[in-house]
Amino acid sequence: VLHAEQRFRYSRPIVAGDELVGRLSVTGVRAIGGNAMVTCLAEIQDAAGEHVVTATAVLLVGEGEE
Amino acid sequence: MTAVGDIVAERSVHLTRDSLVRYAGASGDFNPIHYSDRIASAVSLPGVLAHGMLAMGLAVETIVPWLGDSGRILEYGVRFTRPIVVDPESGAELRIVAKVGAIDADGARIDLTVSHGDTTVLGKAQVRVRLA
Repeated sequence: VLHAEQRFRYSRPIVAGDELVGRLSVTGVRAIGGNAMVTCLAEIQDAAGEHVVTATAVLLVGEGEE
Repeated sequence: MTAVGDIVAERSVHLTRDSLVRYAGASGDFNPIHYSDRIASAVSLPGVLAHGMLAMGLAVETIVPWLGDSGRILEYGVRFTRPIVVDPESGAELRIVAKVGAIDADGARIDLTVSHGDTTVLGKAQVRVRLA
């Protein structure tokens, strides 16, 4: 697995004492040759359900990898 | 006054194999391509590579003294375009230059150039910051 891109978008900074909940979803899979370009989105909220940060990662997964 | 084209910060960071082992422990990314020459060459890499996220973090850290508060960072994205080979003896020297790319009502876009020798290793490394 190769990390191709990464992005963070903050509504507020993370501070000590925060209780955070992350939900990871796969938002896109694109075939390139024998490889797959997978986009993952992690939505991270605080205990009150307010948005804190969205982290988007694009991963290149090689043929035959899990 | 900050203007488009201004260099707001720059620095060099020297990475060694020690840096990578420390970052592996701190991040939990123990992929052996970041410490084992044998594994790196077995998967046809040019050598042991620095973690992309380590380079991403070091790059943005460059502007924090200028910003005064990392909480002013609203958005930060990069593409990992070129691998950073960390030599077992000499390590790798990263050069980071942060330039104002655009200014709007309450903030700015800072463009980071991160190079290793003559090679730019991060693509489209842009930080949106709040200045007001």
